[in-house]
Amino acid sequence: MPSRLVEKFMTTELITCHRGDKLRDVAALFAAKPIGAVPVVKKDNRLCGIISKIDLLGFFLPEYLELFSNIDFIQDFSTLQSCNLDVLDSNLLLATDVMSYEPPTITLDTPLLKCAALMQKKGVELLCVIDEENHLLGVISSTDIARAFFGKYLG
Amino acid sequence: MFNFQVILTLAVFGFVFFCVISEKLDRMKAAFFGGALLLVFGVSSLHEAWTEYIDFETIGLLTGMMLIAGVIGQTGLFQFVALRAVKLTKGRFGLLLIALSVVTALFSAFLDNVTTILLLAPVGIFAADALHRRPYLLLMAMGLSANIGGAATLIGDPPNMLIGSAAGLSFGQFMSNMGPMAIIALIVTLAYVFFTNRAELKPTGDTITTDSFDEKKYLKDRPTLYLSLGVLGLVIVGFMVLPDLGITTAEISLAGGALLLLINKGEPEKLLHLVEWPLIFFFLGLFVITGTLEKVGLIEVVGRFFASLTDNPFLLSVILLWLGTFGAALLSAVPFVAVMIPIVSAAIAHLGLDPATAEPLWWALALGACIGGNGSLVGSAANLTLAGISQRTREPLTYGKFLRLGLPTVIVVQVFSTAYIYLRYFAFA
Repeated sequence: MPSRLVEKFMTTELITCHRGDKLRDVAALFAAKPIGAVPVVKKDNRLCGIISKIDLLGFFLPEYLELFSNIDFIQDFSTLQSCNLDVLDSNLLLATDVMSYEPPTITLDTPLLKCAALMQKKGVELLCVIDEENHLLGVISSTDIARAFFGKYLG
Repeated sequence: MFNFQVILTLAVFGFVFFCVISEKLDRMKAAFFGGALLLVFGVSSLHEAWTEYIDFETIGLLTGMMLIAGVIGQTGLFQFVALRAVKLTKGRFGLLLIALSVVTALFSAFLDNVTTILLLAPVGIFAADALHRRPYLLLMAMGLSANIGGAATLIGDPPNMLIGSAAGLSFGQFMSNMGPMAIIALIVTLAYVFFTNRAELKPTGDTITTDSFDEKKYLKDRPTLYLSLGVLGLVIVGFMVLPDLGITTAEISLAGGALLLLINKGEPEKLLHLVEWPLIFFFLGLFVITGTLEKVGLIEVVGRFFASLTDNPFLLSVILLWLGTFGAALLSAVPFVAVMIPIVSAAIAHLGLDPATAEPLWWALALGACIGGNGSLVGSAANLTLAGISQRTREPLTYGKFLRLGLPTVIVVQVFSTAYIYLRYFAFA
């Protein structure tokens, strides 16, 4: 059985953004393509962070909601002042305002099962593949990994 | 008298208080280490610690009440009551502030202040948000009310538990002596908050619909709720009748906590997390240190000094009240009271006061410490919890911000406390 390595299953057609990009432009990337997260890179393609779709959606919601053990009691969130659907319209919000620094990363020779373990452990849907100098080579999503492992059940 | 043992004890004491004030090192770690140091150097023995120093009455009462509060906290009752209050006030902000303050005071009178704040403060932020108001004032009022409510009963606040156990004062005595003053304190505090923020709290006449939320959704597990409220009720009734039969409050609260553990379906591991172990371990270390301070004779010295100030119990009460107030505000109430208790006992013994004459001294210390906790952000654990929660709003509570509203209210309230002590225990005694 061939070893299942990241190299074979990762995506190399990258959708990335830069630290100084406006958040509204990052949001547009999510609207255009079914992606879970966008890596943030420097000019020389070194990885510096990642922005997930859920993090970006969280921008609309008040931070204090995290303090409630359940939010079923709020039926209509639009009555809350801090729920601001227009917040991303601003030109002042940049990728750095929401990106997570030091995202979990892997290398080309990382076994796929380890990727699956990392995703489960860190609660992420996308892992960045980097070389020794932190250059972004590709990304691997839970969909890619599912294809690798579940492919044998295809008709 | 300054031999090695005394110097080591003083050094450990100084180290722990430095940690409490400067927050350079966690207070539990400092106190527990300090206590262990005194044992390992033989200044005190583990046997003395176990049989004389550690007040298992306080530890037991605290543990039992933490279990009860924790289980009730998980049922969503706190949030349900607070959300109902939000709905009933129909968006009138001033009224809402009063309602949430009273709810906070009531819960914290019978359950742990930190649990109360942890569960109620988010509702305050939510309500302010839904009413398009800033949450700052509401949070401040709730924090101040939590400490005042805690002052009202034996089980409301750890300083009261310490004092009640050391001075042999019952639950009923606390209710009847501290309760009325706590009510006065709550009224005075809210009046002060309203007076100083009249512009923001002025009724605007506009109401906002609060129908868009359903507080009943918070009560997920009604059987557990009814059972745990039943147990709390039994425990409180037990506090009032059982001590006459020789059963202590600690034993009653532990029995209540044990009963809730027994009937709860939760994992044992998770249930035991309801107990705030850092506080218990802080107490263990602190008791060894104060016990050793007493053993080497330092407490006696300070106690004699107190007794030499005046032999007038009223003046001594006033001194304790204000000392307690500033001690709690600057140092935080628990360690301050833990040290003051043996000192006051020594002073009482030195003056030869009988228990009835000495009682006002204990009420003065309790009022000073519990309400003094409102004087600064570090005054009580509830304030610090509140500050943590407020980080998630646009206007986090800072030390200075808390001080600006907290300290003046405390000073005004303690003027009333001084009058209360004079009128109740001396003028008409």
